[in-house]
Amino acid sequence: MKLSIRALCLMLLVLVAFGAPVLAQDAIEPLSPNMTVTDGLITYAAESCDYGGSLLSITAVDANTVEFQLCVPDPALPSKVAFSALGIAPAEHLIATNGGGEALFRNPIGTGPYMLENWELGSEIVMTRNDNYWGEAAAEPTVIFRWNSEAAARLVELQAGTVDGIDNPAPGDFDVIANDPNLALYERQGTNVFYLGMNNTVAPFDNVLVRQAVAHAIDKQRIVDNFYPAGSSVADQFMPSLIFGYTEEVAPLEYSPDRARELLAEAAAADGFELPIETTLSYRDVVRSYLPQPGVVAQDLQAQLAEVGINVTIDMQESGTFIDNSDAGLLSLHLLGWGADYPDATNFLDYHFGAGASDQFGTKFPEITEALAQAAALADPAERYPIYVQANTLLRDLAPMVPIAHGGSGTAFRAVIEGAHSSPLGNEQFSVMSDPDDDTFVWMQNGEPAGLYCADESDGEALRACEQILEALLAYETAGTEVIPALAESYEASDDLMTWTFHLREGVTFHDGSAFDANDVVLSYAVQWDAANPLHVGRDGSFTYFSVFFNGFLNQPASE
Amino acid sequence: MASINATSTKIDKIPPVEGGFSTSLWLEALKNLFRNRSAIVGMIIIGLLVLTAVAAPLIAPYDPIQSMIGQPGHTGRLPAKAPCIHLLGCALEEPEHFMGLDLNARDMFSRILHGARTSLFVGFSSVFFSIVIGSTLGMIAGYAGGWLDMLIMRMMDVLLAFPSLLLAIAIVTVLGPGLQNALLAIAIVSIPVYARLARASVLSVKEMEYITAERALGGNPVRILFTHIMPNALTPLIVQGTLGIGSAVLEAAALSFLGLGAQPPTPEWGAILSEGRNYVFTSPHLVFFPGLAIMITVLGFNLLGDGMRDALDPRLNRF
Repeated sequence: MKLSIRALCLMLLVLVAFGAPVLAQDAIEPLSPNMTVTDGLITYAAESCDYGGSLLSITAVDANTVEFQLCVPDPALPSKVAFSALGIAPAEHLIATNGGGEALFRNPIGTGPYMLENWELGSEIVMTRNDNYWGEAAAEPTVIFRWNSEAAARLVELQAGTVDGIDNPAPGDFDVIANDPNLALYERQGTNVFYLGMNNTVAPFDNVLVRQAVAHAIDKQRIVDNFYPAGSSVADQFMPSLIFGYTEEVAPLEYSPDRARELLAEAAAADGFELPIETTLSYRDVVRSYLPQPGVVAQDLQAQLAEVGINVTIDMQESGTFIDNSDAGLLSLHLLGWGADYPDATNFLDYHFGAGASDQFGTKFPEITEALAQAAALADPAERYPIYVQANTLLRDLAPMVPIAHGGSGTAFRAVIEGAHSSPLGNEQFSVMSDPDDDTFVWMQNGEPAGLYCADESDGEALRACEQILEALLAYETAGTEVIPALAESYEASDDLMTWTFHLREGVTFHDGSAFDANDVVLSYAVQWDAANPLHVGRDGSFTYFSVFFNGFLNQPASE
Repeated sequence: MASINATSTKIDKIPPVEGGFSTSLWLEALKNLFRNRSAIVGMIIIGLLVLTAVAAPLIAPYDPIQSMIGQPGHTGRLPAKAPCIHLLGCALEEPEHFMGLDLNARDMFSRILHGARTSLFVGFSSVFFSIVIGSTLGMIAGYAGGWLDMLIMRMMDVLLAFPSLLLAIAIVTVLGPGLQNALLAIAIVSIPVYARLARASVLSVKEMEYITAERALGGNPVRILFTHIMPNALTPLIVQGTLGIGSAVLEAAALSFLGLGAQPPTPEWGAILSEGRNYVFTSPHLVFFPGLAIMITVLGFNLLGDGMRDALDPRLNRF
């Protein structure tokens, strides 16, 4: 009996000394045939690159090192891993919530400068300062996110002082804000593009001459001058000049209504259709920085197209329906735009015109998809550049869309707020802002986040809130696009850009007190990557950004 | 047989039966109407509106869908430009725009004038449509009675059970947005009001002796209904119809405000109001003028409708 008590004490001692960490690591069981756990470290690997994606494996080499093996060289990988959809959540939290449900997307746990205090649905999100933050602690103890879809209402709240900062003031209000000594305006450079998309499977837009005629018919300067705020510019190409892949030497089709009428007459004679063309122009009434006044711009385009003999009926659709219809290639003409997630041509061109793009512009142009695939696989910018010259020339001549504007937008703050800024990527950092008047910073944006598990969100309203709470391996500098270290202190790539090693920051803890390690990184990625993983659940399970960044999912069901 | 025919012809000629009101009664009503001050104000407003609507292309200084961008004399940033009236001190070299420019830099004054056409067209035609259908149904129900009455009026009850705007939105959603469909929706939702009114009037008129006599003589029920009963049941319909135009204008504006009525670039007050609603603090003229136009129109029809009720109601006869 005495012996057994002693043995029990000894066992307890051993457990306390060595057991706890062992148990914690043992808690992670392989969740899928692609996952192996060796000495408590997770490796997640595809059998081969045949599944079509660009990721081969993610390995926790040790507690503080993660290695990515790719199937194709990816020079843009650091920009991608800095994106907020790839924020790192605790592996235990992902497992405990089964990778989805409200327990996950209403209760985010991260390592960021703020942690979620309370989310009053439909009203506000309250975040409090993370006092154990590894970096410089946030200036304000509390940040509150509120929202209102009406620009006028946001401005009134700012003027009244009930909020400290607002997103996207209406273009007409820029002067009002700039002239108000109590307010400060921060213009946001347009790292986006607004375009008029055409569907080459719908007659008469199946004729390239008609598409070119539309490009000649649109006076972009008039649209930018009259309907866009300061800081906006005319779009010559599908991406702004700030983004790699913009090619100065490719001049756009110039504005010339006469040329447009000539081309239309020529096409009408060849294809035997009647002029004027009667068609539909679809859009959604959703304000984005690339399109600050959707209805007004649609009406101006309607008037401009009528001048050359294209009569359009304006068709406003509900946002979700519109995106679904345009992706399915059901719209003849549509107004849409794109904002940069990371500053590289692949983010603009491959997403829209690459082999994996949707049917938004009808049938794909093989000459464009081939050029883009070739450019995306090269590491050297000098080698990639001439291919983008070719791709941009093809995009101009085949005219699947007419790029119209790069919309500037802005944020406005009370003038007393220190550290106020606007970010070209739309991810303002509130931890650097302070309000000398009180202990709370109130931010008002366009809409409420749908969820805060941002792996499965694609809306900027959600991403901005996530960025305060969760962090990714890397980050973008405050108010800039430069990639800087975050949860990874440093990284290096092999010469062929196929193997990337990230060295994680030590001593970081999550908001729930658990320690951050390589397993958290691997699992945060793997649940998004592997469609067969039981934790691949999310809010609606689309994981859009991961699929775009890494060219699809592992174990994707054949039907999709 | 011949004698019966002769009698029925004689009965037909008895004044109050055929024409509803006699000419003198109509004159009496008209006199009453002109004695009613609010009715006169209403009539003046509506008269001016109708005139405006008819002559809009002549009065309007600009094409309502023509953007001023690039037009002679127009410089600078034009969208949502504030009104410029030379008499009120606006610089002479600037082109005159009484109500300013809208967000697409179109002349608001011309748009509001043309908007009167759209609004009055919707108001008159939807009320006409619903009066024709509604009163026909109501009269048939009231005259026939029995299961037909039951069937028609329960259908009307079903229609009345929905909030009218919500029903109109539902109808437009099914038919697709557009002015014609909005007109149809507004007409459909107001049918029950006229059906009930017509039925109530028919119920009281059909018990009168001259109708009983006509029926006893074997008159054709359809003929009795439309030539003898209808003219005498018309008064409440006219009053309700006048008031109805006002609410139809309002409902059309509401549907257009929601993007379900007039489609761009058609000038319509509700749509103009909706486009400008985000700029109410910075460019109030975008919402002030269309709002004012809607208010004046509805006020005009309401004043006239109230005046008509007073004038046509025999109980309020001052003699």
